[in-house]
Amino acid sequence: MTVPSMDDPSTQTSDGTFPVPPETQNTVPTASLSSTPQLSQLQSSSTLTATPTAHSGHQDGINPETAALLAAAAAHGRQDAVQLPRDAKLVSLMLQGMGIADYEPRVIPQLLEFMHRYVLDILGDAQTYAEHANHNTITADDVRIAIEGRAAHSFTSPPRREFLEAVATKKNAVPLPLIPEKFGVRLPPERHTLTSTNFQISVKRANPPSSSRHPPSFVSSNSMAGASHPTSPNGRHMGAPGTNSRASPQAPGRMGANTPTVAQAPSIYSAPPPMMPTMTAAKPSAGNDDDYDEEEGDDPMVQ
Amino acid sequence: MAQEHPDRLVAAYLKSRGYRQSEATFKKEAVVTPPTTWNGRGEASIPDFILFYNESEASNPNAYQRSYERLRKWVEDSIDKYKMELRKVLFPIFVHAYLDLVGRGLRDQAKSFIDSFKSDHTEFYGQDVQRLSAVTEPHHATENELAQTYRSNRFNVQMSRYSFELLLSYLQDNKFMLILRIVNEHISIFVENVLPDAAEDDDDLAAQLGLAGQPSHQLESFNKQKLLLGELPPDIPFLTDLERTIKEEAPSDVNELLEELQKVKKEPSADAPTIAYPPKRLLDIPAAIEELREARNRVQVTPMSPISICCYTFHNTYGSLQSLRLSPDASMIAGGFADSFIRLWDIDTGLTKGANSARADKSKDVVSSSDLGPARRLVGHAGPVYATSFSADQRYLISCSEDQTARLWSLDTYTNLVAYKGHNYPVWDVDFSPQGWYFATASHDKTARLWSCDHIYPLRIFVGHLSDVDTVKFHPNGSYVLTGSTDRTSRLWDIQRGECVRVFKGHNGAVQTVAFSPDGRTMASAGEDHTVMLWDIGSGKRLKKLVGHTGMVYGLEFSKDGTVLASGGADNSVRIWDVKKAETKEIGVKKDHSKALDRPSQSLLGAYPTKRTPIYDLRFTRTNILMALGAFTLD
Repeated sequence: MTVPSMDDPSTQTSDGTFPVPPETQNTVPTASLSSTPQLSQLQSSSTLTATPTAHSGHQDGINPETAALLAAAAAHGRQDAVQLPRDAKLVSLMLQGMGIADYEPRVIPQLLEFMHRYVLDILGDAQTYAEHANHNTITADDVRIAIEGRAAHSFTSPPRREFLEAVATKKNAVPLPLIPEKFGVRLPPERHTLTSTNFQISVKRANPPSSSRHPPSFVSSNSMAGASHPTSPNGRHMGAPGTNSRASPQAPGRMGANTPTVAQAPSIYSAPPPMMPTMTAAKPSAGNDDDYDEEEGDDPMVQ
Repeated sequence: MAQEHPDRLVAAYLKSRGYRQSEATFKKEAVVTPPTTWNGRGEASIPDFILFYNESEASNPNAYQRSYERLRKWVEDSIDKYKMELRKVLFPIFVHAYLDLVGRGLRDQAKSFIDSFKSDHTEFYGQDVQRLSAVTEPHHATENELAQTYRSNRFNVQMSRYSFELLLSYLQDNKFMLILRIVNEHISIFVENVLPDAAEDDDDLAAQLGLAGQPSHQLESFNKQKLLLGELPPDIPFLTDLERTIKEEAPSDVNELLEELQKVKKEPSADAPTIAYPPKRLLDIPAAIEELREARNRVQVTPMSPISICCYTFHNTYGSLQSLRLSPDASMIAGGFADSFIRLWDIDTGLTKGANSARADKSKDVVSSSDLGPARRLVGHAGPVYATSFSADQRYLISCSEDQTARLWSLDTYTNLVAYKGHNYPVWDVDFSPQGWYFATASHDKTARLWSCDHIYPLRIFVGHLSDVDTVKFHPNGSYVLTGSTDRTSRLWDIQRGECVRVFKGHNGAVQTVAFSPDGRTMASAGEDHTVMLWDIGSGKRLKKLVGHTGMVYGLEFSKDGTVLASGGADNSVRIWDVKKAETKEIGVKKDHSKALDRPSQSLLGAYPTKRTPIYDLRFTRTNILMALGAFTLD
């Protein structure tokens, strides 16, 4: 939990280090600390004496309040609350104030990180706005605009009930669709399901096709789409990944020459690559094979 | 006289804006006398009234506190007969007065207001008060969801005519303009011509008031809509095929099976719904025969006979197990995890096929012999999986997750077939229809949606809840859907029209789980307030309130013949309740309101605690054995 607190260099300078090494406060559960009250009291008194003096010199404007909060944290039973850095103590007090008594120690660093990231983003935006308005310093208005700008993306809440009701009345007016008379697995159209193959098999060939028994290399269709081959008439099979490769005649054409090898290839997915050879049998692939034979030497996909 | 009006207005304006010096100068020059009392005898003129209102109440930041305090004192001092009813209206006034104070930017007054008076309301509304105490700035009021819910919906209160007139005359005589304004704008009081009931059941308080999204009197008539709760008409061609197959195959128990089949072949009841489902095919016949066999072997569960419970405890989950579900034929368990995986265990080996050593009467023994085999892992979601549901024929599984999708998995290939996208917020629960084909999801966006397996966009959107929908369940006849929500109500929806047909109000906390009885006429709901409530669906009335759990209730299920109800929850116990017996009220005993919740209900048949395993899911198998699933938690 090494969260840099942006506005508090004082705790570091006064003590040299944080009062307690970050690791221990996460691993030691609260129950076991109660067995060492004296040690923790010593620690608490030392931190209390250390931090107010540091704060008294620090111009952050909320000294009396912070000191009061720290005193309250010390008086409270939670031992680990006392040993935390100032920001973490504030967060733990906020949790107490909302009535949350039971939380994992991980929650406080999570909240602190979130706060840090959020404030950083807002201040970055505010700085941009200040520069745009030719200010040297960030004003409250800049911060306000920055917050409003981000509010639409983060911290959204569900739509209002009136809007939802309007949408729902429109949607519910359509009668339930009829159940189609079909056999087998009833699923949405293939393009909306996740059942199509999302890979294509490319075959490595160093020898002429008749004598080759190279294992095919499984190349995902992404890389095939990425490898642009301007002169290739195979442009059609470099379609969008995930589309049904059965629509592409080229890959089956390629496989046609190596049907025995591919049929022995293990099929990783339950979706049917073994079907591809049978498809090739149906398609006229003579011309395609010639194309493949031409470019086998300089095909970028072949390793 | 006319000259004085603008002068007084100007003086009041200067005072309220804090221009002290200008105000002093102006007063010296204009000789303005502020009105001390409002005498209604004189000419009632609007400017005078507005002036009075402005000067005496709005400019005085303590006006809210003072008037609320006086009202509260008056309610406490009134006769017991009226006190109960008048108390009901205090909470909404409290909430709206606080929100008004916050909205005007009076932070300190708002803080002292809430600190002085919140202790009154912690019993029923503790959580709401706590959430509202986080609202301290004017912009908080517009961002906080609960504050917006209170502001945009009228709070329903039901009281007798006497109490209502008492209240109104008190407010008017003493000129509580602010409070009158609140009552007018934000509260809807339903006045009944009945005498205030001195021995009124305090438990009904929640049923009579609160936010329902609907005015209270309309709720009564709303719940009178006609429903078709009967069973689906039997599929005659399929049943004749089934009968023929049984006769042809002639298994060992052919006569019993045929007898069982005759029970299924009934005339469609008068209120059978007319909804279409895919017809059953020959593939389903072996499963149907198995179902008949299990129905034949069903153990009769009565309040007298002890119940057999089998509990599966999952160890080493480290808090990442979000949901557990047993398949309908009790052969598989699906567990949804926070790391977005779903794990499937096959428990069919040894347990259901007559392994008598694994069952124990009246107690739960963890089956030590069966360490379940390796689980299959379903990969596909992008966030914690909050619920799963098996299809009736056990070939598909639907799961829903924080990544806003619901996914369909095939249990033959253990792969993800379809991802259903439609929600924009985490989906909390999903349920398959008992006949398959349709499923429903419940989400944080306050809606539940109905989907069918072959459409990737929802078919119906059920809008009506005021807060996120925590649970969804199909009616046994597959044509109604029940949702339970954080706004403490449950609603029954007709899936053909997409409309809400029943609202069940009565809980004091979020409704986490609901269950239907097998005959479809009764339903049970339970949740955060540790109580289980039984409702009659046809009339919308509450039949019973079952008190006994000491923690949140996660699982509810009726036995297959509908005689007992099992519930399990965060207090690590399973409790069995009697459904049919009517609860007798103790007459002549004064209700001690503070201790009312401590006495366990009379319908409790048994409480079976585990050591440290909160029960996530409860299912009765088809033979009426209760299966409980839980994850061992070290806290």
